[in-house]
Amino acid sequence: MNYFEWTEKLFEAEKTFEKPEALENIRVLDLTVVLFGPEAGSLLAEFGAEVIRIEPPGEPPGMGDFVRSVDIWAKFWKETSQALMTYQRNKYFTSINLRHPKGKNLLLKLVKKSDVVLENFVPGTMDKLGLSYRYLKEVNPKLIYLSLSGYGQWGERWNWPSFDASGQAMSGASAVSGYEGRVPLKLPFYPGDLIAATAGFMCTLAALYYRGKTGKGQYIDVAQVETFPRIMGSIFSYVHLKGKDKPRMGNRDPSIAPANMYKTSDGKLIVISVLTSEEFRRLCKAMEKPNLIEDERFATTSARLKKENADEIDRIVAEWVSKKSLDDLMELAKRYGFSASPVRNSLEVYEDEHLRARKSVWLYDDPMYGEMVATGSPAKLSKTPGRIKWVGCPVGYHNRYILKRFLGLSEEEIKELIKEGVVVYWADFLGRRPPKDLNYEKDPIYNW
Amino acid sequence: MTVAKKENKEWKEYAKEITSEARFKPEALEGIRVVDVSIASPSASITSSLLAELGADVIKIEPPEGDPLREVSPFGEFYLNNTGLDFLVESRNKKFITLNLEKEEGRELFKRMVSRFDVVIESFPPGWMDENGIGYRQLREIKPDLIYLAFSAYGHFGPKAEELSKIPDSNLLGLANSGFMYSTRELPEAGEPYNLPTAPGFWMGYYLCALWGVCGVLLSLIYRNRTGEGQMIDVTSTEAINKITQQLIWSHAFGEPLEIGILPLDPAVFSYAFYKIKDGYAFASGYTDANFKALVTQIEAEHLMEKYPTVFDRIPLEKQKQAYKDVQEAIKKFTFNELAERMVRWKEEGKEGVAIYAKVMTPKEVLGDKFWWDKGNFTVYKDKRLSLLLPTTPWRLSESPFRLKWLRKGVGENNHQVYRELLGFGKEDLDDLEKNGIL
Repeated sequence: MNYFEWTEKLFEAEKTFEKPEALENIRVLDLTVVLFGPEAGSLLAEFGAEVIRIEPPGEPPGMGDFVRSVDIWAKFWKETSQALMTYQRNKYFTSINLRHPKGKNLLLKLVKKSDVVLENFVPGTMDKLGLSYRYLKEVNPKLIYLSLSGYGQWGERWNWPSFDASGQAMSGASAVSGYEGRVPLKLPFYPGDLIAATAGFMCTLAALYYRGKTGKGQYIDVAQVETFPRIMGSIFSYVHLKGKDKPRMGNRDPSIAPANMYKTSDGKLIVISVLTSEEFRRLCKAMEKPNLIEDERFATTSARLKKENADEIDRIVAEWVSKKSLDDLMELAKRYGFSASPVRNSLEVYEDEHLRARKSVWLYDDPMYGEMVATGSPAKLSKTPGRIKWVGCPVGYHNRYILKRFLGLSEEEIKELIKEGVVVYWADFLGRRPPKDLNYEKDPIYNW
Repeated sequence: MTVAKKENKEWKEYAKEITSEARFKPEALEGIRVVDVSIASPSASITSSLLAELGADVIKIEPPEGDPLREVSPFGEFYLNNTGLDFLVESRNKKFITLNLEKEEGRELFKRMVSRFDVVIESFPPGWMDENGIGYRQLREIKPDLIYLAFSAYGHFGPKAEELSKIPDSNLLGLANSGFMYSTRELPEAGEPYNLPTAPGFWMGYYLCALWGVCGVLLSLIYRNRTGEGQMIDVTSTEAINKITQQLIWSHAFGEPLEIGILPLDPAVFSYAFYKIKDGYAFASGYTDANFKALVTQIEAEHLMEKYPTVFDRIPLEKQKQAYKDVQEAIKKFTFNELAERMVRWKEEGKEGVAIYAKVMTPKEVLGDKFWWDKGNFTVYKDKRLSLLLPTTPWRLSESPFRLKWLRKGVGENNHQVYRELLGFGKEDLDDLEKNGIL
């Protein structure tokens, strides 16, 4: 069988829901807020963990996580925050007041029956509530406890509040991005939250594997500011050796030449990136400039990277690209095998049939919001693929389901807890309540 | 239910005690053998580094002439023992052997060792390994519970996988093809090149791709532990970056695309931006009403609260442009220390709302900041041949932490040890193989 027919069968994206989940039977208590923590919980839930979100009741009660007030251009489609509709996936939504002794007691009972706890409050907050790792490991010795924070749980800035952009600013990530003389680039889409959340997810997986082998739980401390230097490659090594900062270079790369964004003859944008001499030979053949392969300025990677040579090859490639259309260039990239891509806008990505077939652009029918789109899991696992099931729900939407299923509470007990403000449902407010067209009163899971 | 009162130690002391020392602790991936046969793939190289830092026994197989990645270095400078910086910083804890997979005999040796591998990592054009009889389809016959991780630009399945299989993945490709780069640019009025798509000034595409490679392996190990089954993992940098641009894709469900470049603004929150201040640049944030009020009060521009009272007055683009200008005008009079003092005083006085500031630091300033050294985020690695500053892996696991043990081995430096352990080869066997161009 042709290899690609075989892989098509092996991965069978259309049959994702017929396949098992890697984290089946792992229960996670997600106490996180805003984006950083919620994304880590969502990634666990995409691979099959049962993630119970315990949202703070908010002020006044029912307002929940303040990120429910945040939305793109303040549009609030379907009366809901985009933060809920993207960064909260596949979770059960409860809202319990942990500052109330009865609320704390409910949490401790859930901890006994869970595998992982996630939180991203300012360090020390959970400890003051008696809910930090040192307390909860006494309740459940096998517990894995992930704390996500700005600067980490200890050290000089341990209790500084922080956002994604604090991480970008304090670590040098922004200062190396963009152009000299401009306001440094604040990278969009919150990489300080989302990359560090991916790291938190990764560490939780390492801890789950270790626990599977030894039965031991552990504590994990992941900080958004600290995450950046580790993903900035050789930049710090270079700066240390040279004793000075590396200049900001726009789209150029000091370690790859040629590597840049170029304008095509039909006014489109393409990136071309040539890492090795072998890739350079292929580009030269595509450019019909075989003499460059032997040119000592370009023949080796180290020679090509010297500043004046890198400038020259960049100029040569820019000139070549300016005389070719984007389609012709991509044909040449396919035929000769060098790294190139159009600079695509999000509509092109959204409509990409290849990414849709691979379930990276994930179209689905959400139980609450109807026709929706999400991004699928980047690690395509042939046997246990990740999946999107639903996204964010109103404050406390699954209270009854969770409290009855795991703690066996009766309807009367739940009503009493609601009256006492221990268990909370949504306030009648934008971003908190169900969308207008949803008949939630008839939803069995809401009425459990 | 009650929980015993813990010792009176402060939380930060306790947290430091359990997470600051890695040596002597167990390793999460002890006993897992990972074989990395990738060529010229930073994503694969970073992945195998992280797995090695988690304790896996990682064997990096290079072609006899070495991985061309060894030559990659900023501006082609600073070769330490003829090795580039980008290769050095991701040569953590690995053993380096050579094996020529272009030759049949090399591939036969590879197959003879596969039953001893838990994880194989490769970055060849999709189909190449299979065509040569050492793809997942063949290897799983020898080792049914094998975990096989493949990096490529467009993946190993999907309607265009075959057509695009020869295109190598790259950092820029992932950033451009995912839509991230298109939206990373300043407002149209900034003029070229600033209003054109811009990539981050570091390898965000390669590194996020690598984190997903590690996640794929760990998920597969967890599943294998439960069921005894292996699987194949397919990772591309485009899809890794696409995962963090979920906001961009999502907006199309509602026909409200976010295509335009709007830096230094943000589509969902204001103030959440970098500003020029008296002594450089700073991030200043305050986007809920209470927090915005704290921000404008601290920068002595309380009138802005009346001008922009709610999120609806601050976030929509045209309003946000003006609001940014107004905040910029007010904040430029302050140094970073003055802002930080106001932030702290505000908190001490127990006032409502939180404004958050951060200084935009260059890498050199970061290296001069005691904070990072106290936390062990950088180390100067030294051995008999090498001295190099590099970032440590900052994610702290209390029981089975990441750790750096060694850097850089030469091409084929561990051939004797590894081939003896796995195949029982002696010196003469290796000499023959080397002569025949197999090692």
